[in-house]
Amino acid sequence: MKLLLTSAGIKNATIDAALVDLLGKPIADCDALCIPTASYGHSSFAGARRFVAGEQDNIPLVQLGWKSVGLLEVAALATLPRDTWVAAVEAADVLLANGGDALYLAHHMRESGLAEVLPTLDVVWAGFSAGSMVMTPRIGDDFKVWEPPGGGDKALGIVDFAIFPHLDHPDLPENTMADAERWFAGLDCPAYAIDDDTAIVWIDGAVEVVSGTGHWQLFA
Amino acid sequence: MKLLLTSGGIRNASIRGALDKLLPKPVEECDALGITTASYAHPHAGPPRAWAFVADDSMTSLPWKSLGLIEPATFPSLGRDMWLPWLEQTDVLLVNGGDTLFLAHHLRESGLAELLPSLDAVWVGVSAGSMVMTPRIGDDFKQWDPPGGGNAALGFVDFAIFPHLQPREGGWGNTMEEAHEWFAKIDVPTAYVMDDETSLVWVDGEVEVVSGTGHWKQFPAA
Repeated sequence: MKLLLTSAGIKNATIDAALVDLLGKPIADCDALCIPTASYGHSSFAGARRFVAGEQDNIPLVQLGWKSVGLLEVAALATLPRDTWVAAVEAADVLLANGGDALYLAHHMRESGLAEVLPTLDVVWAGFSAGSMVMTPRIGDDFKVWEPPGGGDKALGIVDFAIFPHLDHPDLPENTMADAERWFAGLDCPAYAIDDDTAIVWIDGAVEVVSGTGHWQLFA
Repeated sequence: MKLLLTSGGIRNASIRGALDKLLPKPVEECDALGITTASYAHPHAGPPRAWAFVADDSMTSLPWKSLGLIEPATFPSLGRDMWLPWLEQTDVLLVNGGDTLFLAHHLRESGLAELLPSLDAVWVGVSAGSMVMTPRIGDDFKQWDPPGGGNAALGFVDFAIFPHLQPREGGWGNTMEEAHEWFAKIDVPTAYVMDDETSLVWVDGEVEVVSGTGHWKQFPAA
C-alpha cells in the first residue's frame, strides 16, 4: 500500500502529479473505490452523498475522471463474506477516503479487518482530512468528536507521524499555526501541519511532502 | 409511513405521478435520504451499483431540495441522536436494491425497522428496497444468509413481491413460470408479480397497482 495523505484532495498540479506517480498509470485507466464512512461519524449525510457523487467541488477526489468508481462502505464489511470484499479491494487501484471523523473510520477499519488487510495490498490510499489522519498514530484531543468504545484518540498508526490538516484555512479560525503548535505539544509523535495545497506521500516508511505553492510545517 | 414499491425505480410518468401524489409537497421542496445498504451483499451489485445509485439513478437524480446518504450499518456505532433527527425530518427515503435480507438485517439491528411505522415519510424502494417490506422473499431470491437463517423480511406489508418480470417472452428478467414456482413455495397468501414499469402504492394497508404500460399479475388470480 502507498499513501497520498491530503488535506483537501487533489488541489493542484503538484499533488495531481504525485497521485499519477503513485498509481503508475493515468487516472483514466484506474479503478477507484470511494469510502464515505468517516462522514457518518459527524452526521454528515449530505456530505457523504456529495463525496460519493463527486460533487464536493472544493475537494477533488471522486470526480477526477477514474475509469470506474465503486462505493465501499467500511461499516458494512463486518457483516459481509470476507472473500468478497477483500477481492473487491484487491481489484481496485485506489481507495478514496472522505473526511469526517478519523476515529470512527479507524474503528470500522479495525472491526472489519480492513486495517489488517490493507498494508498487504498493492493499492494507493488517497485520503482527505480525516481520511488521511486515520493512518496516523493519533489525532490529538482537539480533533476528537466521536468517542470510540475504548476511549482515547488512537487512529491506525500505519504511519508514525500525526497530521494537522487545513492549516490557516480562512473558514477555520481554530486552525492557525499557533493552534497547531499547541496541538503538537499534547502529542508524543512527530507531526506535519499542512494546508489545503499540501499532501504527504508515504511509501514503505519514506515520507515526501508535496506542496506546490502551499505551506506546511514539520514538528519533531 | 407510505410506500412506493417499485421493481425498477421511477421508470415512467405513471410511477412518477404516483410519487408526486404520495409526497406532501413538490419534489423540489422535499428533503430526501438515500439508502444503498442492500447493494453491498448482492453478487450482481456490490460497490459499482452502490456508487451508481448515489451518483446517477432515477430516484436520486430527481431535483430534491436536499439529498443525503445514510447507512443503517453505521447506526449501532453512532449515538441515536446522531441519526434520529435526520430520519424524523426527512420527507422521503430512497432505498436501493441488492440483497433484501442483508438490508432487513441492518434495518433491524439499527433500530430503524422499529421506528419506520412512526415516521411521516414516503419509502420509495427499488427491487430489494421494495421486497424488504414484505413478510418473506422466498428461497429463490436468497443470497446472503442472515445470522438466524431463513428468508424473512420486515413484514411491514402482508403480500410478497416478485420483481423484474420479463416485459416480453425471452427478454431480460424473471419469467412468469419462475413466478408460479416461487409463489407455490413461499407461504404468503398474496403476491404481486411485476415488471420494471410497474409499482405498488401502499397507504394504511390499501394497495394500488401503478403501471403505465407495464405487466403484472396478482397471485392467486382473483
